[in-house]
This record gives sequence, structure tokens and C-alpha cells, in this order.
Amino acid sequence: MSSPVAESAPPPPADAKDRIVRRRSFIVRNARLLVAWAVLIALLTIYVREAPQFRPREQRSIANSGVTLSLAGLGQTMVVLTGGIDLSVGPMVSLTNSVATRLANKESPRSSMAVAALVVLLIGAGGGLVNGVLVAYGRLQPIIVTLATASVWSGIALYVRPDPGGYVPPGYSDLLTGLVFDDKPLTVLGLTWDRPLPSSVFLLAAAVAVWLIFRRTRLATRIFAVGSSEGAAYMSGVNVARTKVWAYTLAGLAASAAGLFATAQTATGNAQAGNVFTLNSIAAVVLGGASLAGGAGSFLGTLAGAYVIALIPSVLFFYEVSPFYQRFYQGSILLVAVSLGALGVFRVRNRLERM
Amino acid sequence: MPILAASGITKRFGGVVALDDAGFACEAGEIHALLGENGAGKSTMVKVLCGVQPPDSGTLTDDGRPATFKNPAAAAAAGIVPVFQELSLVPHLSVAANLFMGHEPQSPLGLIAGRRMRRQARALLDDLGFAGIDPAATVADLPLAQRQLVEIAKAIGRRPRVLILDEATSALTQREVAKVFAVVRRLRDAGTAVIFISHRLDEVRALCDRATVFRDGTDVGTIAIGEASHDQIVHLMIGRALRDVYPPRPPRPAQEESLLAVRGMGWGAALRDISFELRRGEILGLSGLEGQGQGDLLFALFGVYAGVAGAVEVRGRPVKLGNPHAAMRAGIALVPEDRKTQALILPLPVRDNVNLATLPSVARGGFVSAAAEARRTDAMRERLAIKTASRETPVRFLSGGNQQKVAIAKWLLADADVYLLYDPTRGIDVGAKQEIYALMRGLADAGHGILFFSTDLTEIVGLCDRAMVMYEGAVVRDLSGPALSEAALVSAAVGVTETARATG
Repeated sequence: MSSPVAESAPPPPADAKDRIVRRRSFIVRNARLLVAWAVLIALLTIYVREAPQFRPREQRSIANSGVTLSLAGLGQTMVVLTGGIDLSVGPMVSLTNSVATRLANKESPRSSMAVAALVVLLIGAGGGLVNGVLVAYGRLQPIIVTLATASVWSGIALYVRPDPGGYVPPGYSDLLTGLVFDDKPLTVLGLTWDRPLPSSVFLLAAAVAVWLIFRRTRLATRIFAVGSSEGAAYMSGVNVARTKVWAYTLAGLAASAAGLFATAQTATGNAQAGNVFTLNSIAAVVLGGASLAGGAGSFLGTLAGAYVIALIPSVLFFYEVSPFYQRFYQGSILLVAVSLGALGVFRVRNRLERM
Repeated sequence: MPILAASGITKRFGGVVALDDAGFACEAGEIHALLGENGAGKSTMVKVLCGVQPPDSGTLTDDGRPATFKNPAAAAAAGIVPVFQELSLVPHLSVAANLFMGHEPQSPLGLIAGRRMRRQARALLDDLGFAGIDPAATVADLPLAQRQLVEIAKAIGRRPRVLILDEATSALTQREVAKVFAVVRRLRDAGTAVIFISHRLDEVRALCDRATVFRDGTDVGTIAIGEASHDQIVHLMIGRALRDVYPPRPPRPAQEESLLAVRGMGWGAALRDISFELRRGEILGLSGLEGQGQGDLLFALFGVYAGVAGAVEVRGRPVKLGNPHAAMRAGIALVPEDRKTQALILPLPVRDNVNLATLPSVARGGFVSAAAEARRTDAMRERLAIKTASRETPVRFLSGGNQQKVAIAKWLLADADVYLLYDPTRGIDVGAKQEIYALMRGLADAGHGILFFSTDLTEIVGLCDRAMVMYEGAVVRDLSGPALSEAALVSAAVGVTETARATG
């Protein structure tokens, strides 16, 4: 059965040692994410020590300060994982804020706000879908597509809300940005919880839960695969274009959720207030340890990155840094944090792997 | 009735005709080789068969019915699954996630059942005899050979009717090849059709039942492997007899000038106390089992690694190899392993790639002279017989062998003293290999020194003046003259394994 050639060839070594490559340890795999959390914990420690007081009110303001950016960052994470970038995240926050404050009214605050929220989420998903289709089927560069749609969203936002203002039902603001259990203690199975908690903590917990579930879907695997190696994903039968469309659509949806929270938080409408979230969401994603080349990253890191960015102004305030220099320090702290995350590069002894 | 057949297939890329009225058919339960020189059309045929490239004209039949595959997913759905030389694994994901991409086991809620997936991955890898691979490991962390095994496991996990192995064994050691062959024979006996492409003719002879030979973009004959002699096959492939594959070795005077002297080189656990000299006019081979530090030695000598211990002298002068640029200045050139990411810039034309390492010598005051670039490119095209439609063709359109020639041309222009070649003939055909051998011998005769790493033992024996066998980062044998034989190389690599186990 075997040919003469096979018999004359030198026999393979009987059982030479197999070099087994194991999965790297949790710490090594998540080094950059852990650095982001370490920086966040350091900043929080400073905040708690320096703040004159740290009561539920302060806890609430801290918790609320990073929610919009975290949600915008969740969207940005989706897109960055595919190796793309979404510059329309900020203007989508603005647009959804403008639309929500236009649709909500004093006469029927509850039902009008519910309708507004639904419409806004549809707008977010729709806008993301447009980005995704242009990137995936139009074969255009994400940075150009989203730069253009960012401008379009801004234009629509200004049309919908030329002047800042508008109505936000106070009940809606309280629901998302207030405290829970402050007047009604919770009693479950005879155990009573009476410490007030910021309601935004529950929002964040929900976002984390959504991420952890999402992470186990086939779509998530495809998004990571497309960002890690588009060619390999294609050869593995992954529908690359459809995967990208999904990523951008989810990003738009997350941006509109961010816009809804911003609406509750600011209790007003402004067609430009959200624009800052474009670059900050990218910063949060990078601080959180994602690779802008795609394929690596986590919302858990982005979350830490978002709160690092949100906390910097408060910490600077405690050190009585003049607002004129705030941006300088903000940028410097960002650079240090990102460099800390990249420290691993200096331990890479194969210089090819640094690139 | 053939399980998969192609007829009248024509495919052009730009001005290059890759397939010209080519046909091919394979039966269920046979291992069918595609043979042919570099650029003969084998790989393009495979890409047509599995939906990567739509043909310009011609028809495919699947079990006698006409078929068209829009993309790889459609072909896979019809049970036609390829394994390519270019790896199709996603580097950031785990082995298990790659093995089951697109058909992950799901929990009742529609989520991926991670633990079940890893368990099934373990079972699949064990069943194939690839026990040394951890399903939870990230693919990017695996050495090339293991990635190749994962790739093969991934294809087999899809339970193909037609399995295509396109140079899928090129990065494997003989022991791993034997494992893969056992699996492939098992599949064949169970009724799977296997299409096998390898440039190692002895692999084809050991494994395959029949072979279809391609030449110049068309099929020139189908033969039963057992009935054809080696010479007959080669004759069909290249249209002429293949006589002396390796250029003759000139006798060496006892003491030539030392071009490269390495003393006590170390790099973590990967390289341990390596000392050797490479002399003018010498081709020095690096051999041993795969992954014993041969590649690391070349990278360390080209300044790619940081924190390398030991001393290096080039032509008697001590040199500090802080980065590839310093290595170039010291007179060292490396043709790296991975043509697609390390050696070439695929979207750029042949001209740019050829001149990239030596831009200063075609530039005046920061401006590149197009005429000088063109002149040098044409000279290299002629010297290395690079087959390309024009010098402005992006190198990604060239076949593997021609890409390798471009990668070599780039460093020939640098006129280095020492050439480090990392498996330069991997995945290229006999004819192009022979040209590269002749070129290497010519360089040596012109007074250069060559350090040559190859996974192919016959190359080391046929071409090198001397060979070092490496094991776990150290040089354990130095063979030359009559002592340099395939048997000696294997027993050195394996013998060391035995003593190391006995003492360690």
C-alpha cells in the first residue's frame, strides 16, 4: 500500500517532545484592560480622599458622569473591534438628544417620552445601518464614511433643534440619573437594603450584562474574526460585509442610548452638546486596551477608560488646576495612561511584534 | 462518475493567463495530486474549485450536476473544503473558536457553548493525533507548524466530501506530515475525495493514487502514481528532463576568510551559547527538528531581537546589531520566512519592492530616479528570470516562486557580505527551486557567505558545504563533507532528543 519512496525515506522520530502552547494566563491576556482598571481605581481613590465629602449625592454625580461616554464607548468598541472607526458617534448623541427633546411634551410626559425613546433608538440603529452599508457594501473607508455621516447627523440635529432648550420630563431624568432606595428601603427575603444607590449603576450593570451575553454570540465571534484577519474570516465562510453592517448598526444603537442618557442628565436639548463624545469614545476604547487595528478589545476595558476620562476634570478641580490648563493635563494624563497600557511593548523582544 | 470535475476553465489576472482551457476530475475515495511548476495553474484551479476565484469561462460539475460557487462559504456548504498555504485562521481567537467558526455548538438560548466547543475541539484534535495543541490557546501564540495542523483539523471538522490540501504540509516536519498522511488515508478509505498539492514530490508519491499534471495553465495528463517513474513525472511537469537539481559544489581551499563570526550568542531560552564561523564562498545549512531556534538565530543576526547576548563580527570587525538597519550596514541581509508580511509589500509594484532596501543608491538629494529604478529592476528580472507582466505589476499578482525571487532580488541589490535565507524554497516549485539553488551557489562563488535554513533535508544535503543541526536553541552537530547526509541530519536531530531526555 505504501510506495517504495515512503519506505526509503528516513522514519519520523518516534515521539519527539511536543511543545504544547497553553492559553496564556488571565493576567497576561487582559494586561491592558487591568491597567485601565488600575488607573481608574487610582483616580477614584484620589477622588474619595480629596473630596470634602462622599455621600450618596457625590456617588450619584460620579456614577452619572461617565454613563454617556460608556454607552458611546460601547458603540465605538463594536466598530473598533472590526478594525474600523466611527466618527459619527458624537453627532449621533447630539441628534438623538435633539430629537428626544423635540418629541417629549409636558401634556403627556410619560407616553411622549416613551415614544421619543423608541424613535431615538430607531434613529440610532438606522444611522448605524447607513454607516455599515456604506462601509461594507460601498467599500469605503470607515473614517471617511463616518466623517461624512457625522456632518449629516449634525446638520439634521441643528434643523431639529436650532436653539438649545426643549422639554425633558423630570420623572424621566430622576429615573435614569437619580438615587434608588433613598426613601424606600428594599426588603428581599427578610434582608433590608437601605443605602441609597445611584440608578445609573444599574444601567451600567445592565450594559455589562448585555456585553457579556453578546460576547458569547456567534455575531461577536464574527466581529472579532473580521477585525483580527478579514481574509481568514472570509475564508472561514464568515459573511464579512454583513458582520460589519451589524457592528455599525449596534454602534449607532449604543450611541442613541448614550443620547437618551445625556438627555436625562442635562434635562435639555442641544444640537452640538454630544459632539465631544466622538473623540472621547475613541480615547476610552484605546485606554480600555482595544487595538485600533481590530480584533482585540472589550467593553469592560472601555468602561474603565470612560470613567478615567470622566473623572479627570473632577480630580483636577480638587487640585485647584485652573480651567485654562485643564485640557493640557487631561491630554497628558491620557498619554500616560495609554503609555502604561502599552508598556508591554518594551518587553517584546522580537521587534517585529511591536508593529 | 467523478465527485468533482472542472472542464474548459480559463482564468486571467490582468495580463497574466493563469488557466487556459484547463480541466480536472477526481473520484470519491481517491487521493488525487495536482502537480506542476510554479505558476502552472494548480493553485488557481484549486481556487476556482472552492469558490475563491470565479472562472472567466468553463464549467464545474459536482456529482455530475453543474455547479457554481459564489464564495468559499457556498463551496463549503457543498462539502468542498480547502486548506491553503496562506493560513485562514483568525489570529486573535482561540484554537477552538477557529475550528468551529460558523458552526459553533450552541446552548438552547442560541449562545455559543464555550465549554462544549473546547471539549469537541479537544476530541477532534485527539482523534487526528494532534494531541499537542491546546484548544484554549490563542492561534497567534502557536508556532507556524501547529497553526497548519489546526488549519487541517478545521477543514476535516467540517466533514468534507472533497478535501483540498494546497501546500498544507509545507511547514510541517516529517513526523507531523506522517500524522497528516495517516488522517488523509483514513478519510480516503471512508470515501472522501482528497486533492493534494505539494512541491515535495516524494510526499506525492507516498500518499497519492493519481495525479493530474499542469503546465503553462493547462492540464497535460493524468497518471496513476504507482505506474509512473520519478523522471516521467518531472518530465511531464517541466516539459524537459530534470538532471542535476543541485549545482556542483566546488572544492574549497582549507582557509577562506571568515565573513561572519558568532561567539556565545544567547537569547532567552530560544538561543543558547551559539558559536560558529561562516567563511567566504560557503553555504552553511541550518537543520534540525522544526522550531529549535533556527529561525530565531537568523532573526537575531538581522537585529530583529532585543537583548541578544554574545559577540558578532563581520569580516573581522565587531558589529552591534541593534536593528535591521544596523545589520544591513554591517553587510547582512535577511530574506525572511513570510513573503506576504515580512519580505514584500504586496500592493506595491515589482519595481518598488526590488528597490526598497537600497533606495539611497537610486536617489539624488532625496528624489528617487525612476530611470535608475527601472534599470535595476529590469536587470534583476533578467538575472533571476522573474515572470511578471511588467515591472509595474503589484507583487501580489505574482506566483509564490516569483514573489520569492523579488524578495531575493531586493537583497541582491544590497550586495551584502552575508545572506541569511529563511526557508527560501518553501512552497515553490521544482523549476524555481533549481533556479534559486543555482543563484545561491553563484553568490557563494562570487565570495558571499550564505546561512541557509531549510525544512527540507534533501536541500541541506544537496546544496550546503556544511550544516549545523540545532536542538532547543543550541547547535548540537556540525556536519560537512561525506558526513553530511540525510540520515546523519535526522539521527543528529533525533539522537540529541534521546540523550536530552535521558539526562534531563
